[in-house]
Amino acid sequence: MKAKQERITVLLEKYWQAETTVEEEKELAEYFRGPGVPPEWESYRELFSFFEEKAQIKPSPELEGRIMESIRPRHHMVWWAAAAAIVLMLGLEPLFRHAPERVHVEQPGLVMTDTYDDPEQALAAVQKALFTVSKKMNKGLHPIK
Amino acid sequence: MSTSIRKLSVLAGLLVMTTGAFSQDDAIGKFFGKYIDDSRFTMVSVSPKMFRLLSKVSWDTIPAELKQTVTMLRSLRILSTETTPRQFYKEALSRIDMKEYEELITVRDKQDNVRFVIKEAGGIVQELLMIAVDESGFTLMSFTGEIDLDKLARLSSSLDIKGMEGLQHAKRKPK
Repeated sequence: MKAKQERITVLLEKYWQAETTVEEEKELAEYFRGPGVPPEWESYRELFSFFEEKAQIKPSPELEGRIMESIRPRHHMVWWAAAAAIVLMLGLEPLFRHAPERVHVEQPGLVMTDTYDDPEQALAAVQKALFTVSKKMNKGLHPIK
Repeated sequence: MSTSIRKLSVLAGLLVMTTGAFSQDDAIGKFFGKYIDDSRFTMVSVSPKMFRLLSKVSWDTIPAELKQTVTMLRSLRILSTETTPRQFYKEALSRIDMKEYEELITVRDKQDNVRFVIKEAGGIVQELLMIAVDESGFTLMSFTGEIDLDKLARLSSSLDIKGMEGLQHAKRKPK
């Protein structure tokens, strides 16, 4: 009896360190289920019988089904997301196709209205503007000249 | 489902925002937009569409360096007025967001006051804005595109020579 209690003490020590094997845990459970558990270990008896009791609980056969059911909608989600992405891309597609036009001409709040219809005249104006800017720049860059 | 939709809408929002960023106005549109239709101001603009059409013009008489500069441009706008030029000059300097623009050259002499500011991104000058005032008026001139400042600075000398040659020829002809 004494030897048994010593062994149980060792096993309990290991148990609290979470180092016991499955067999050793079984041994503990058996011991606490059996008679002759000293009064100071009474609380352990309840504890191990509680674990024993809980271990008897088997998952109901529908559990797997329920789990699968709760997983499946995620697959739906992926398809929905993919579908939404395609719809969105199709919706945005004209935007990309006309992107250069939008970028250059349809400036928000102010469409740049051309002063000249004739490219020749426009070019002349651009030349004049460039010339003006260049001259003024040089004035700043080479003030001594 | 709702999270993926949310993610997608964020993505869509980003896309719209980036295209929006491309279509940013030049400094005139951004800071002087309200004066564009103001009768006190004269507006000259050459749109990006027109710049594309410029390629159809005969370039024979145009110096190569000028051609190179022009083809890199995207738009040009000039906003000018003869009304209270000094006041508008001051207004311009206070309105332009100097976080976005960088000061390039400032010229101050008796006749005029000129400032050049640039907008740079990735080492490329994307906009050159000239803010100028003299006795005759106030001018804002904005070039957008890809601007080579060195080339631009050299232009006036080459154009000057061309212009002089033209003048000499013109004088000679009547003789």
